[in-house]
Amino acid sequence: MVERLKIFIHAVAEFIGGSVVRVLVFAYRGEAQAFMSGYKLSKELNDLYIKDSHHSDDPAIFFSKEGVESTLYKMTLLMQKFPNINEIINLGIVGGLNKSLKPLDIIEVQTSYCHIEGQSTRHQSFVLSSNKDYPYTCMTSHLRVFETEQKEYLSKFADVVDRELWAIGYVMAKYPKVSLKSVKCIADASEDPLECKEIIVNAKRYSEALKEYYLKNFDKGSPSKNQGEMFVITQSQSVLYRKYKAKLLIDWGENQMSVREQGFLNSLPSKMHSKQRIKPLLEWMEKKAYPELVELKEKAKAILKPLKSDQSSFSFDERLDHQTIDFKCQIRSKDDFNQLKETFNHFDYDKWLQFFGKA
Amino acid sequence: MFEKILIENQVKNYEIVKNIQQRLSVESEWIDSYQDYFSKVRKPYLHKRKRLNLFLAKREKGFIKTAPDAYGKEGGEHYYFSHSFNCIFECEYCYLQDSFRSPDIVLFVNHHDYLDAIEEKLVCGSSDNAIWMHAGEYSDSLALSGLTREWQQYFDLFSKYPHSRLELRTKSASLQYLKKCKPNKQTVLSFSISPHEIASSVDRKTPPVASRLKAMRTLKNLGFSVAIHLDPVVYHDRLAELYRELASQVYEQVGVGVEYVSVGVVRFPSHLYREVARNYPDSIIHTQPFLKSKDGMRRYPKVLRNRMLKSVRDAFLNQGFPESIMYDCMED
Ligand code: SF4
Repeated sequence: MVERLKIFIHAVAEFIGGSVVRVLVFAYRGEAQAFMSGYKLSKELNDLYIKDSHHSDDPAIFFSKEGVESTLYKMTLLMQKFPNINEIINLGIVGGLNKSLKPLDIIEVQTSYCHIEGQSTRHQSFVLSSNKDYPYTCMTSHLRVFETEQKEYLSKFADVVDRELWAIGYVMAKYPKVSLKSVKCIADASEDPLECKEIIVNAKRYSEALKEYYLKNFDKGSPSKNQGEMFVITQSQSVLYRKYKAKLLIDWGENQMSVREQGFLNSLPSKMHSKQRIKPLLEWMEKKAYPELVELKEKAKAILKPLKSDQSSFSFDERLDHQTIDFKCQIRSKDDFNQLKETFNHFDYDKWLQFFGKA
Repeated sequence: MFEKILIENQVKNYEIVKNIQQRLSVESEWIDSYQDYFSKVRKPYLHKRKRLNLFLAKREKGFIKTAPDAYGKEGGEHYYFSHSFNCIFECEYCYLQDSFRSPDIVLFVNHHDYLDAIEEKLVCGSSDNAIWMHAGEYSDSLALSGLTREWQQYFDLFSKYPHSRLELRTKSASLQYLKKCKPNKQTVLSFSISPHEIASSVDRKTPPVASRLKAMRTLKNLGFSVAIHLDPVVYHDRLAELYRELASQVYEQVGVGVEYVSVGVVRFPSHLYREVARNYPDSIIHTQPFLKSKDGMRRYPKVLRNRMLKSVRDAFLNQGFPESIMYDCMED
């Protein structure tokens, strides 16, 4: 069994290779039939289907099966094994809860909730990427929903009901960089629940409607890749860099920002490598973004300056949040002692307190 | 404004409920308890823009709470009460983003219960122990007053107790309803304001500061007491200058005869800060020089905070607002 799984993973990894991958996730094959025939997917590996070409831009298709548990398990496996997936689009048939939705309407879901029979609803919800204006909501139900009363209850929370989206959201929450979208086709209206058999009989029509929507709205090439960072920087430097940049973008606008940033970088010695360049760059950006704070820091240093001598030094909270001063000194002789007394005579502690707004 | 109204069966015959239904031509649905639906799932905060529901419900208990220290003007006892949850406005720093799991609005319509609970406290007040009741801990007190029209009965109650004070805190400038109310000495209508440059970028969907000032003037002329909350103060490179301008606008529009001026600098508990980042990723708030304290709180550095408070206070003092009416709100 383990051997077979290894072969499966190896084979699929080869197909997905190093490219950016979009995977369309359906609960079952009936919903995907228009896609399967359209893309002529020739390779079949368990529940993942990929076009038989290394460089194809066509999406892969994956079946999560119906229900929360199955979807949780299968999506977890998929995401663990294929780290270069960067977009998941869940497509499927749903029951309408919102009275304004009619059979064959297509919606893009923006928020996914979960309802477990007997346990009411789960608090956790997932927000999906959708560029549509209207935030449709989907309730993933643990069991199939046929009772009108049950639909009535769920309609207070969501527009449609399905069996898997929340579980996909749950798994994908661990992969915040992977985009998750969901497109649903309404199979039955809120007041007119269909029997499961009828849905299966009509699955082809729903699948075609989904495909038509998909081709119109998504089949326009792969999503853009993230721009790489310009510097080799630590995480805390990166936080500061983004914060200063956001402030300067407001103050200067995008063009001025890049001109000035480039100008500053050009002024640095060309021998400096990127690790060395980030420190002066951050200092320069801080000065430009928060001149008042930088000025205050300078003022703090000036007040504390008398504490610095040949045998003493000081440090303070450069974030200007605490007034504590760390003072270090060495007394090796009477002269040192007298010198130290002199140092303290020159230091104005009240001024320091005043600086902190305490005096 | 609302997608639908969900009404608890136990309040469906209340006069106020029928009036609200009439004023809003939106579909109504009947439910047993708002608690079966409100906050049961985590409804994204920004659904308030397009998917806002209104719950009309009965509150069963906990009508009044003791206010924390430094909540209001020094002296007296301070309490707050909330007969609504959530707000139609959208300030980027608003703590409501992290208060409930839903932005839906809940209005508790059993005002008689609130009035009874309040009166129970007010009878204990005396001339040297004023009792303050602050409304709107979880909402804007007046944003929906045109729809709910509940305040006259509160004004009537407070006017029976000379040493009581009722504070309605708001950013609303809609006065339709208040103009019809009978003012009394006990009620203070307090307005949160900040300079236009700042408010226009962080106070979304609220009336402009100029309209709030105009509303204050009108209310003052009608005989209401008014007060000012300079809270939250948000950092700006030209903070002192902007607050000097604001002080002069307040002086011109309202004069120095206000009940109090409170000042508080913006700060965020860590959860709220994350919500702000999620809801308003492009907000100027994320460009601000905040520090993260050990308790996860985001605040400006102490030196800056004190300077900001001083600049704001000085702006109002120099404009002639007496020091005795100024206090710092929730500052440590
Ligand atoms: S007016 Fe007050 S309650 Fe309403 S969004 Fe703004 S801060 Fe929040």
